[in-house]
Amino acid sequence: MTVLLKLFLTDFKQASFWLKKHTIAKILVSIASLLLLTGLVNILFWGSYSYFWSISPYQPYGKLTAIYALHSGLIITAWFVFLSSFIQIFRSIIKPSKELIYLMGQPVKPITISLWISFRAWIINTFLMLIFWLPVTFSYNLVFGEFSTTSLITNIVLITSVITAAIQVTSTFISLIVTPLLKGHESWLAAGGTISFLGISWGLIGLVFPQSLRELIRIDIDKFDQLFSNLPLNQNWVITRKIIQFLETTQISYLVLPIIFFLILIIVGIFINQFLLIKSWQRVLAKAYNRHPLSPPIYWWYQKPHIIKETLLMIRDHSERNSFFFFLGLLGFFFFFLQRSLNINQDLSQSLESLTAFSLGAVLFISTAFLLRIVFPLLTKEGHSAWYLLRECHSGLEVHQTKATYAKLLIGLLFVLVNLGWLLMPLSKEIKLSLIVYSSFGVILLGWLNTVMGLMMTEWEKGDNPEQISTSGTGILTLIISLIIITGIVSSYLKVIPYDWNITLSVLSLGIILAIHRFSEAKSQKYQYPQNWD
Amino acid sequence: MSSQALNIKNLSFSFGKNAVLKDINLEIKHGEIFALIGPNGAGKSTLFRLISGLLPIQKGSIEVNGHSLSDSLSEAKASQMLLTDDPNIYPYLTGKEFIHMHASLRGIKESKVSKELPKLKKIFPTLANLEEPIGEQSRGNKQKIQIICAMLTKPKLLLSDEPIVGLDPSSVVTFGETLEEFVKEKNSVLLALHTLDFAQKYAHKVGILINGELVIIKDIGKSDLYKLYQKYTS
Repeated sequence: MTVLLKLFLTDFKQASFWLKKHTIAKILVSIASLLLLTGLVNILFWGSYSYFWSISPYQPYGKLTAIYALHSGLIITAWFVFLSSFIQIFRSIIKPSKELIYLMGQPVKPITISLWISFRAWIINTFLMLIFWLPVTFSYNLVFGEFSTTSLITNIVLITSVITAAIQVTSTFISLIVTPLLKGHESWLAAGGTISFLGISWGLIGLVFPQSLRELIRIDIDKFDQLFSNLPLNQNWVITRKIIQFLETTQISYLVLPIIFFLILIIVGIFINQFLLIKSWQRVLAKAYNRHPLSPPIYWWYQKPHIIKETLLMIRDHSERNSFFFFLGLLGFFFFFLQRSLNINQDLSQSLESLTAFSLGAVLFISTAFLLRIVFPLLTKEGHSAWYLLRECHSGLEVHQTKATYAKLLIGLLFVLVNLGWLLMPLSKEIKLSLIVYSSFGVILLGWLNTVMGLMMTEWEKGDNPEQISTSGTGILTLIISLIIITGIVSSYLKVIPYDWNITLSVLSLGIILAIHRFSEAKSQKYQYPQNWD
Repeated sequence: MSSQALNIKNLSFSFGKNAVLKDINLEIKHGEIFALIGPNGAGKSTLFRLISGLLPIQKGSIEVNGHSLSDSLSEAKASQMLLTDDPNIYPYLTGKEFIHMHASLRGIKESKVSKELPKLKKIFPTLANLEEPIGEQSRGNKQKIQIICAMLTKPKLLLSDEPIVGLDPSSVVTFGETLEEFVKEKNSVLLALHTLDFAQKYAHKVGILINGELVIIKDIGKSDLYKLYQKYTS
């Protein structure tokens, strides 16, 4: 326990040290991030509040629907928390940090290391889950519930912490078993992982939104209860149902069974994981040589060396590959989700415009996340290898152009996938065409913005951690501009903006990005390796 | 061809107020191996980064093979190559892929690389499999891959910062002999070193850099480098 506390204290010191450098910039980035989070929480709160309020007059079906929506949300967010946790542990084992390697060589108990690794992931995942869960349950409580605000927040924080801890130990267990088996097959892993993710997500959506949900809308009231209680999520063996029943009735007795279940899972999980940790890590190290099955023909190196290099980085680097497939998988998941919702709710004439506008916004937001994580860091992630690129390219402008060319390929891929997604939706031709036009404009604009903003950033020291590049000051600024663009596009789609303004704003935004592009080209002439960096 | 592989005149450089290089003047002739020695933090790596175009020239001038870095950066870069002391580049590429990429960037044809590579691999019999990713290789093997790249592309000036760190003893000897063969073709080498034995054995000239100042340039001949170094650094 003392060692664990010392490790946490070291983490704290490391964070303090990190904050001491460029403190003002970091505080500004933190404020901007906080504002973005507040915006997201507000959207979730007001969106869910409007929904719950709109169904509240139809009692008791309104409340039942709201409860079902809460349960569905819990299951879907739990799935994402599981994924996030799995990826974090997978990365810790397959590409351990220097601190972890050091600890593994010290006489520290495996349980301490296991808890130390899991703790940070648990904090992050609990926070992520609360961002969704708190505003939604809060809005539910305002419309239907009987909890006091303090009681609701306390209960939700406690329940969420326990659920994420249980998910954490489960995903850690699976990760410890699976990772050594996957080591050495990384090139196939991403494709397999994406297919598994989409497959499981598809199954989960099928479970949450079964075909029988469609019948509930038209069914006679006397048969409603029977059909509703037969829905997969409403079965007694679904442990999360008890938690939802607690929110519905405020009776604490509903929580006893799930809390006991999750606590047992956590204790058993921690106990097993400590034994698996060192063995799994050793098994991973024993398979250190990683042959790349996807090796391009040598001839290609002599045609487009930069393109081949960037593509191999995307395929072979764990972090890049996982993020690449994660965001594209998320896009696929959203389209699956939307298709299912549209198929179930066929009578959407009144809310179709709002639904498609929300979907357009969501698709552009996921696209922004992809662009910010994959396209924006293209230059900076050269990191310690930057000297080579700067040495071998004839000028900074050449570096700029090679990176911009690769960015165009990535944006092109996103463009095709987004439009393919719209084409597959069960919508009328007119709506599809409109969505394709708006999202095409959005993807091009956002892609261009992320490319040129990224090409102005040369903080090579962040290169080893592309996530840090995306969340840098320039990254957050790019995100804020992207969100303004998305808001503009969605407003235009909803015809909130007058037609004449649309053209003016489009030309203006293109002009601004062109100016940033020219500025970044000029800045590329001064690309240089850090003066005092070894 | 210019009469000098490297010509540095009145070069000064500072990081903010911290002057790292002060009025450096240095000439390296074709076919010459020049060893630059000096204590840690003397400014050797900064000088190498300036010559290779990674840092901007603040004051003075640098010409590589007759091409000024200020006026003809592309030509100057094409005439030289830097072997850095941090060979950790593109860990996700295999050694072979990196060699082909490097050759491609320098305009060398695939046919030439395919012909030369088997011969070059023989320089270092202890070199591990080139099909393995660079990130999985030892520091010494990473150095060897860079050296093979240099021998393949034959730059007029080879800048090598701490090249023998991480090399096994037999590879150190092989590397020295390879450099001797390399300069016979009128190519030149600038080495930054802490291993005086290596400089004594293979270099033709030596320069001692202390606190950013090149305090002496001397033909090595039979002079004792240890005594010379101690004289200026103690």
